[in-house]
This record gives sequence, structure tokens and C-alpha cells, in this order.
Amino acid sequence: MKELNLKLEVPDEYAQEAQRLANAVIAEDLMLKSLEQCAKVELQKRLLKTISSKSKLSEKKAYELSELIKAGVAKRHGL
Amino acid sequence: MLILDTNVLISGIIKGKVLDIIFGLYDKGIKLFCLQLVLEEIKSKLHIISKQSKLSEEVVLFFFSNLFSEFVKPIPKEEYEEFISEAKRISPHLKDAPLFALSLSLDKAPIWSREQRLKRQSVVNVLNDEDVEEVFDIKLE
Repeated sequence: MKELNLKLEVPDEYAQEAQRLANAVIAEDLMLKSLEQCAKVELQKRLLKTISSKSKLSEKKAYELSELIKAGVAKRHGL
Repeated sequence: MLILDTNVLISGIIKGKVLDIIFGLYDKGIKLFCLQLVLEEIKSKLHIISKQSKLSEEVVLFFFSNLFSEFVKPIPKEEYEEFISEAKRISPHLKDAPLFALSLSLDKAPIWSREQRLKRQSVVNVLNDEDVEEVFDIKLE
């Protein structure tokens, strides 16, 4: 299938109105996407907070685990 | 810009203020980074984290995958390994060298750590929880 480009000559005010509408559609689309992203992030925050609130990991054990992980990372660097 | 030490990342899964500070930094647009290999190590030690946190391995993996997908950007080894030699000279302990290498690769970005020994050098600024709250003006509820 071939693409066909049509060129229309319209009065200036028509062209301006078409451009305004196109900009409004783009702005609305961007706003919706932005809202979707905000909602997604807030949901992620809630989920992570819920998980951490149920965790029984102690500060001491978390420290020991992080040292264990650091040693593993160092090993992967050949240190 | 701020680099998160492993002890901060692991403390995120404890009920406490670390996660709130991370979210506060994220909301302020502060870019947070960590070593990508930390995620690999977490994956290889899921059974231990699961046992100690009393959370299932799936939930632990979900937690860290989400943390690293949106809030903290993991940096692959290739992006900082040329700084490892210099980092070895700075780092108070050899196992902290990758973290210092990452900092050096990001123009000496500060490190957020809960480990005091990291402060025993004067090249990279190391911040504890309270320092981070103060420096980045994070107000916790």
C-alpha cells in the first residue's frame, strides 16, 4: 500500500483552529499519561510499604545480610 | 544525585523510615543509584532474606524488583569498573570499593550508607539517614 499526501489550501483561521485542536489533543493525551504514571507510582509505593510493614527482618539481621551481599558483589569484581 | 549502599537497600524491607526517605527523595526528583550486581546478589540469596524476613521469596523478589524498576536505578559494572583501582585506594574496606567506584564514575556523587566505616576517607561525601534528611530537606510524616 502506498502513502498518499494531500495538501489542502484553507483560510488562515481554519488552519489556526486545526492547529489549536491538535495541540489540545496532544496536551490531553500527555496529561492522561502523566496521571497514569502518578497512579502507578503511588500504587507501587503502597505495595512496597505494605510489604515492609509485614517484614520481620531485624536491623541486626539486615546489617549482616548487607555485609554478605557486599562480599558477594566484591567477589564478582574479583576483589 | 545519591548512591545507595547495600545496607540502605536491605533496610528498605524493614518497617522503618528508610523507605519513606527513598520515596521523599524520589518525589523531589533526586536521582538514586545503586550497583546492579546488588540485585543479582539479592536474587542469589532470596532464600536467606525470605527466611529472616518471614516473607515468601516471591514477595521479596517483587519488593526489590519494584524498588529497582522505579525508585533506584541499578548501574551495570561496565559503567564504573574503570574506577575500581582508584576506589580500592580510597575505600576503607575492600568490599566497599565497587560502591566508591560507582561514586567516582558519577563525579564523586555522595553515598548514603548506614555503615560508619565508609566515612574513614575524605574523597567522597558519605551521609547517614539523618544527614540525607537534612541535606535533601526530607520531611517525614
